[in-house]
Amino acid sequence: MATDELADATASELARLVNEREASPVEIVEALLARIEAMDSKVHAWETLDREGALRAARALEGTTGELPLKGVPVGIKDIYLTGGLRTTASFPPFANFVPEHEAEAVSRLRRAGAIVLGKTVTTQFALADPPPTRNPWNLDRTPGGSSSGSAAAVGGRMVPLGMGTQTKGSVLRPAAYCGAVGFKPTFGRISRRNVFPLAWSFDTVGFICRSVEDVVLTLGVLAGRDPDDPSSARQPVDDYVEAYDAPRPAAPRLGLVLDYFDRAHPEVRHQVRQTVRKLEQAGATLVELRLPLDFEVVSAVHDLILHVEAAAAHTQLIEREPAGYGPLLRETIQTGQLIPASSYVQAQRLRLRFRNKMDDLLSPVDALLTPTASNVAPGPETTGDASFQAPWTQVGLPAISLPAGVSQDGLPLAVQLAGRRFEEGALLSVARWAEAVIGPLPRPPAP
Amino acid sequence: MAAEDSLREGLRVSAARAYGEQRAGEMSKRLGEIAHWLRLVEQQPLDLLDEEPDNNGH
Repeated sequence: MATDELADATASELARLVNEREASPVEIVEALLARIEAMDSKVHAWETLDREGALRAARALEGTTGELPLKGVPVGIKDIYLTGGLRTTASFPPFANFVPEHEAEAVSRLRRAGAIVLGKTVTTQFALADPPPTRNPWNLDRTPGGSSSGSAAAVGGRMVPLGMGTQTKGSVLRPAAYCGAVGFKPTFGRISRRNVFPLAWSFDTVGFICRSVEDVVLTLGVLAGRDPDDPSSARQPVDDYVEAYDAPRPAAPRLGLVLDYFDRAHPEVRHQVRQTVRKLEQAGATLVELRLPLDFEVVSAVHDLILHVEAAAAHTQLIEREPAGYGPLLRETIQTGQLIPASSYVQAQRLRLRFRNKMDDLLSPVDALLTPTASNVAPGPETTGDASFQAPWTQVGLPAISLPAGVSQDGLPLAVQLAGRRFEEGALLSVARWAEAVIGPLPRPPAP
Repeated sequence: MAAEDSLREGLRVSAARAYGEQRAGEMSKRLGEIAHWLRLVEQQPLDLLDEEPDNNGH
């Protein structure tokens, strides 16, 4: 197959080609390395490329006959996941030469499923918001978003079909939306976060960026499930997502439009997402207009207070040892987080629980909530964008997915997000599959 | 409940004590944001006996 065809293929398509011996893992890795070679001097999505390791893994797979869910699928790993034998920097200069012995559980599960680690993708420092060097493949004057900046830019730019991310506020869904990709964040506790650098324990969630709902299904099936060595890992049973995806197409869903989001979105985003909503309605969706059970501003305040305190706690010893390594935004977050009274942190946590329980009630009459993913299209590279639209799901641990939904007048991707009930990813992905088919595909990004 | 101005001033004094006056000045915008968040959280009714059910979300 031609290099461009392989670079355009989704993770599911590549796995199918390899399992049916219609493409070889080496051919796929070489095609994507060529694509990276051609693009990444402009996009800067990759922190470390592991050419030799990826080719070695590809050659090893060629000698095997059994089918694997992600056989031969290259993957980019956000550079806050520990990767055994491969440099892990967290974009923190003192870690520039840190090569861990241990590995994130999520990465090990990907490898066991046949995925090939192509390298580490750029993260904002420790997954906060100091702007990265990475640019948006749709427009090099715009940010790809953050903190999973490199994974989103690499997937959106067709350099890799699957990129791992993490979300503490909006760091998977927003960059996916900005880069015209699909972003997925499962229920809190659904995927192990062992050996992933923390930012705020109450929120940190492993997620990923890809190019179709089918890819989400396949990848979640590999990653979901209890990890006894991760204290935050849930004991809830895991659905057979692939079987659910292959089941007959679901009936048109009942969608809750969260009006607070539409009130706050940029006018062009509001207009475009309303058009998408009309399309979904015409295809049979039942729409229910809803409001968040807690004021949007209060939800944001609760999130930011908890994040500041927990980031301060996570980094309090390292910043003592390596003060010069910290970027200005993270340093300020840690230093100010250390000043927040303990009683205010506890009150914020009490409000978070109240919000979570009320969100469970809000979701009960609908199949999923629907909103614009981001308040606006990707802004300039001096920021990673506004995370307020993705934070509520992270705050209460709901699974959520961002789907591309058209292009703005400036040629930048727009997106909608769907949020579902906790631990009911299968039901959410069923709605997402239906919506993806109605909305239709995004065009390819222009050549940078 | 403390007013936002008084929360901001309290944070500024704590910052100056911890990091010096100059650094406290550099962080004044963020301290103002935090004062606003603290005020919003303080304003929410949380009764002494309010306790939300929690099984850590699992």
